[in-house]
Amino acid sequence: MDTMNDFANRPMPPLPATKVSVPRHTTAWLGVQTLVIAVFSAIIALIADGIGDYGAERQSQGLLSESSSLMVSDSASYCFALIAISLISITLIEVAFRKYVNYLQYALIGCALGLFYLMLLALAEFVPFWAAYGIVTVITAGLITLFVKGITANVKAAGLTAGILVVEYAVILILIYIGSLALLIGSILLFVIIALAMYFTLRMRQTADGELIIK
Amino acid sequence: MNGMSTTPPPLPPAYVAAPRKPDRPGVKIVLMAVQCVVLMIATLIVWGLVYDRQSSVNDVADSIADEWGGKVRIGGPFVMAGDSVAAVSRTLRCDVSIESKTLHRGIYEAEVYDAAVEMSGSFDALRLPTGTDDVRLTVRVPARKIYRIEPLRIAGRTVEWRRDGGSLVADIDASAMDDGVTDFDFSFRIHGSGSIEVVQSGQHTVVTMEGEARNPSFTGSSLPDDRSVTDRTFSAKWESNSVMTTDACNSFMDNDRSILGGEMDPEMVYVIEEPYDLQVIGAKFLVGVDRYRKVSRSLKFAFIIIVLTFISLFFTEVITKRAIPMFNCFLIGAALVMFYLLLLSFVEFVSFGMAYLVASVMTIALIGGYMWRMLASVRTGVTIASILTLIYSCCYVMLCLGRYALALGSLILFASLAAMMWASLKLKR
Repeated sequence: MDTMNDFANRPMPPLPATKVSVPRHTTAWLGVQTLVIAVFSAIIALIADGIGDYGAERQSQGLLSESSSLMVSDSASYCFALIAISLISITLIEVAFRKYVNYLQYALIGCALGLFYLMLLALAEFVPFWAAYGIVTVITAGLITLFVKGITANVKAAGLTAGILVVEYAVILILIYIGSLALLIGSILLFVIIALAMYFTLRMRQTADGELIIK
Repeated sequence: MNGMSTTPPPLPPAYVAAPRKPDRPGVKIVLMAVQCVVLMIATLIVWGLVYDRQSSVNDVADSIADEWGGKVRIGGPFVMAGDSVAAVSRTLRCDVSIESKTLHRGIYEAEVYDAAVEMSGSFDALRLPTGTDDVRLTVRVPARKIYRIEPLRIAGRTVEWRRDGGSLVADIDASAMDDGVTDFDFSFRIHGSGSIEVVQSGQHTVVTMEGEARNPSFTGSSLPDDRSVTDRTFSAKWESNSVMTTDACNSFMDNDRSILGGEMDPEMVYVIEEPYDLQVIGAKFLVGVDRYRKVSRSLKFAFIIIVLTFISLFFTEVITKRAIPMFNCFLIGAALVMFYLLLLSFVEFVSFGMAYLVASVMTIALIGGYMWRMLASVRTGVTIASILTLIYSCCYVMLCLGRYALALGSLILFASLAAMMWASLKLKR
């Protein structure tokens, strides 16, 4: 803008033929992004908690077996971590592949991850829990993968998203089934995830104009 | 950009790593304070998790202990004529010796005890209404959990006990007690957990308790006259001169009839109205594991650990003149909170000290390694790791010291304040 003011009394130069890139993925952006993701995850985790309670109500009506109802509410208790980790990975994918994903798209992905629990509850009334879990995981991961592919037009980014989601859901299924060891394994996994996040921040570099890149 | 020329602007600069300028210190400090608040909320969530685990584990411990034997309350002996109390003892001595043991079921465990109870004392000469032939000596006690019992010796004779619901009953010959003072003694061994209480039912009652138990606490209408509690053992002595009215005895017998006999319906909630002048004394023991208590106590140091670490990060930034992005600071804080989650999950499998050691080594290694790679300086990494080691070992010492914790804690805070002042003198614009 200063440059423009200095030359205000001169004839207007023609617009540049190529757009000057404004840095989007800055550190400030990353901070805001983390906050927004935390808020999204908290809201959807609250809703998922409600779905878990609704499962107990369906069970009292005799529509759902007790073990399935318990497992649905167990899986809903991992909702916050799951959504936060998924959305942060999509943020990292956004930076790594230099694509833009806007907040509406983040919100939609978050909704898909939240809808997982409602579909799980609905399907668990008809098939065994593990089968319902598998089907819903495939549906949700497939939808989000296609969406990410649509946004980024990059097969590798979409494949990475699918891989991360499937691994997350598989880990949660294992944690639900092992019961008493869940806290131990869950906390060690969270430790590993923090270590991974640290690793990614080390690989992150800034360019001269403040744009973040992942080497 | 030289936008005024007709030539197109240059392409965006090639992506090269540019060193970051440190943010302004004031902004940095405010942001760190905000992060501290967020991390404390996370700590609160971990605390809730500790609380949940503790209560669920204690529920299991209670159910294990209930199978072994629940709370024990010893009331009596009373001489019963018909349905009402005819006499209370003139002198009563009750010696309880406790031997505790730990029961295991999977990762759960419960602390229970075997109690050897010896009771002796004397009755005054009985003045029974004539024509009463149904005279019994009754002791209120959870009789089903008694596993060894010596017969009652009264007025020179030996009488076998029979179990009647929640009490021990011995039929006695009233005519033998008509003249003068009648001495009695008996003893039994009982399984129990949680607490053991004795009703001070004699006119002059002496109760002693001794044995081994973790963290006993004394309860009841009066505290012991003499007591000593060491690491594993305890002993206590109560003495009282109180007259328990016959009304109180009667209502005690009526109230306790269904409660202590083990005939309770576990689904029901019983409201027990105790006679106001009922004198009960005893000791309470922990049934569940107390390792969770140590975890929740160590959580109290979370704030100080986070603040001290952030201050060290701040000074590291100033001294090395290399920026530490706020996001990296936040990850370090998250690792500090993760320490407690690791501690909680390890403590269920190994001892508290071992869990603390493993969790702190993991956390310190992670943060030290991170600082090393972030600032590309081994020295910084080692410095931060040693500062963290110092903080964590101080916290452990404070957890174990108990009594000296406050003094040591305030000294450490004083020392760290002095270190900060010294470091801030080195700050140059």
